Amino acid sequence: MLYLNGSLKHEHFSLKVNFEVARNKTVSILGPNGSGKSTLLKIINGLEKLTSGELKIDTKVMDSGKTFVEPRHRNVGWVPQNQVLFNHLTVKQNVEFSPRSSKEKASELIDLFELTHLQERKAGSCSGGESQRVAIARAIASKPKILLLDEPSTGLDEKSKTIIHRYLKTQREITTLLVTHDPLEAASLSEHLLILENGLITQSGSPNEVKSFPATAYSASLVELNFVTASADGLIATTEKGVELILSEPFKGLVNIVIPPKAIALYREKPAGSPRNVLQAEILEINPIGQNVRVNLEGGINFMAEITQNAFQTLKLRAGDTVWAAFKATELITTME
Amino acid sequence: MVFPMNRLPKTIELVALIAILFLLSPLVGLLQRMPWSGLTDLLGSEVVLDAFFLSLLVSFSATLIVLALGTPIAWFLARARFPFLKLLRAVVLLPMVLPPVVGGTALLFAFGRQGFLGKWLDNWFGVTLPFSTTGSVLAAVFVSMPFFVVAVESAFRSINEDFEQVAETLGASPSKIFLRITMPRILPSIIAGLALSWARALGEFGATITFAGNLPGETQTLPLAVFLALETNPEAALALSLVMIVTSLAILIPFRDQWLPGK
Repeated sequence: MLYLNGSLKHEHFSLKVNFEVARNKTVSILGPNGSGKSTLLKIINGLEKLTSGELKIDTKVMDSGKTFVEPRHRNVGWVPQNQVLFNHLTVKQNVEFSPRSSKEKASELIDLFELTHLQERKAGSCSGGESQRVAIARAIASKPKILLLDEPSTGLDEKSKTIIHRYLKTQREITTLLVTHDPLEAASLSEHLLILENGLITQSGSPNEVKSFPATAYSASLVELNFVTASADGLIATTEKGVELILSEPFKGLVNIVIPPKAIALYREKPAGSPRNVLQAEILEINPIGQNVRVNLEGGINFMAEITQNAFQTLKLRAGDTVWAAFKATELITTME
Repeated sequence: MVFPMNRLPKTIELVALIAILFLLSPLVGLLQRMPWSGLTDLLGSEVVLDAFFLSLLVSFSATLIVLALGTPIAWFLARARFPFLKLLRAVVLLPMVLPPVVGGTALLFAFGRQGFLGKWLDNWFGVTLPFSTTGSVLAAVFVSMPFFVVAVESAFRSINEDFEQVAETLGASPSKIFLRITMPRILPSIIAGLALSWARALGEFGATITFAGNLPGETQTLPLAVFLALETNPEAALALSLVMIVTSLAILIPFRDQWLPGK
C-alpha cells in the first residue's frame, strides 16, 4: 500500500497531491511534460523531500514533518527515464547489485527478461531496449515494496517493449506506479489512472472513466476528444472567446464540454435549419488516419473533426479553407466543472 | 597516413612546430654538453645514487599521501554546498600558483621548531619535521596536492548523480556506492591526477630547500643535488639532469590518452 498526501515547493515549481495505491496494484500517471511526474516518483523514493504532508508505505511513515527515511532504507525500486546502468559492471552484476538481491532472484529475473545470453557482457555494450530490461530487472531484484517506472517503454524496440509489458501485465506482487505518455499503455497495464497537470492531480479514475468523462483538455486530448470550457446559462454555453454552444440540457455556471470528433460533420455551405451547433472555422491541418481523415479547425475554439475519406474527397478540403462544422447538442458530453 | 597533416591549417602547424622546437631546445642544450665518456662513473657516484633513490622515495610517498588526502578534498569541493566553497577552493589550489619558496617559508612557520604546530609536535612527540626526509615529503605533498585535486574534482563534478541515486534506492551503503560506482567511473582522472602530482613532486625544489634544506642522503633530492652540483661540479649536474629526464619520461610515456581529463 502506498499513501501520499503532501506537497513540495521548489523555487519555480510546486506539487500538491493526495492519492493512495492499494497493495500490489498498478497505477499509471499521465501528464504533459513538466507536470511533475518524475518529481512525484522522487518524493516516493526519497530523492525529494516533502515540504509538508505525509508519505506512507504499508503502515510505515517514510516522510513527514517528524520522520524522513533515507532512500536506501525505503525499499522502493526506481527505474528513471534515462537508462542508468552501471556500465563498468556486467549485466549480471547490475541485477545482483542490490544488497537485498540474491543470486537466485537475480538469475530468475535475468531469464524472465530474456537477458541470459547477455549476462556476462558489460552493461555498457547493451542496446537501449536491453539496457531498460536490465534496469527493470535490477530494480525488481532489490525486492521492492513499491516499483516506480518512469516511461519504461518509450523509444524501445518491439521485443523489449513486449517483454516489459508481459511482465507488468502478469506481476501481482509489487505495488507499481507507471509514468507514461501513452494512454494505450496506461489502459492496458493498469486499472487506475492519475492525470497530473502542473503539479496537481486533475483526474483520477479507471481508464474507462477517463475515456468517457475527461475532466480536462489534457485528459480529452489523450483519448482524442475535443474539450471546451464554457460558461452555461440554460441551454446556451459561451466560451471565453464568445463562441456559443447549444446544450441538450440546461446548466448554470462553468461547464466542461466534450465534443467527440466523429460527431462533427463538415460542409462547404452553411447547413440550413435543424437545432444543432454550427460553427464557421478555418482548416489548420489535415491528417489521414486509416479509413478516416482528421481535420484540425479553428473557429473561436480549436477543435478536431474526424470524417470519412469519402466525405473528405467529396468536399475537396484543403488547409486554409473555410468550412462549416455542425454537431448535434445531444452529442455533447457536458459536466459541471 | 600517420599524421593528419593535410587536415590542419598550415599556420597552426607552423606555430606548433615552433613551440615544439622551443620546448626541445633546452633538452638539446643538455644533451649536447653531456659528458658521455665519464657518464658511467658519474651515475654510479654516491651523490647521484643517493639523490635518485631519495627522489623516488619522496615523490612516491608524497603521491600516496596526495591520493589519500586529495580524494576526499576533491569530493568535498565537488559536492558540498556552502557559501565559502569558492574561497576554500582558492586556498586549496593556492600552492599551484604560489612561488614554492613562499610555500616553504609558510611551512617553516607552521611546522618549523618555532612554528605553531611544529612547537607542539616537538614538545609532545619529539618530532622535528624541518631538515628531515619527512619534511621533504611534507613539502612535496604541499606543492603537488592541488594538481591532483583539480583533476579529480572535475571528474567528481562530471559524473551524473543519477548513478549514485539509483544505487542508493537499491539499498547500497554510501561506502559501497563510493567504491563500486563512483571510484570506477573516475579512475582515469585519478590516474591522471596521480601522474601530474607525482611529476610535480619529483621536480619540487623551492619549498623543499626552504623547509627541508639540502642534506645529502636526507633531503637532497635530484633537483637539489643539481642545484648544488652546478656550483661545484657542472658535469655531475648534467648527469643528474639526465637521470631526472629519463625517470620522468619513463613515467610519462606510458601515460595513455584516455587518462587525460575529457577523454
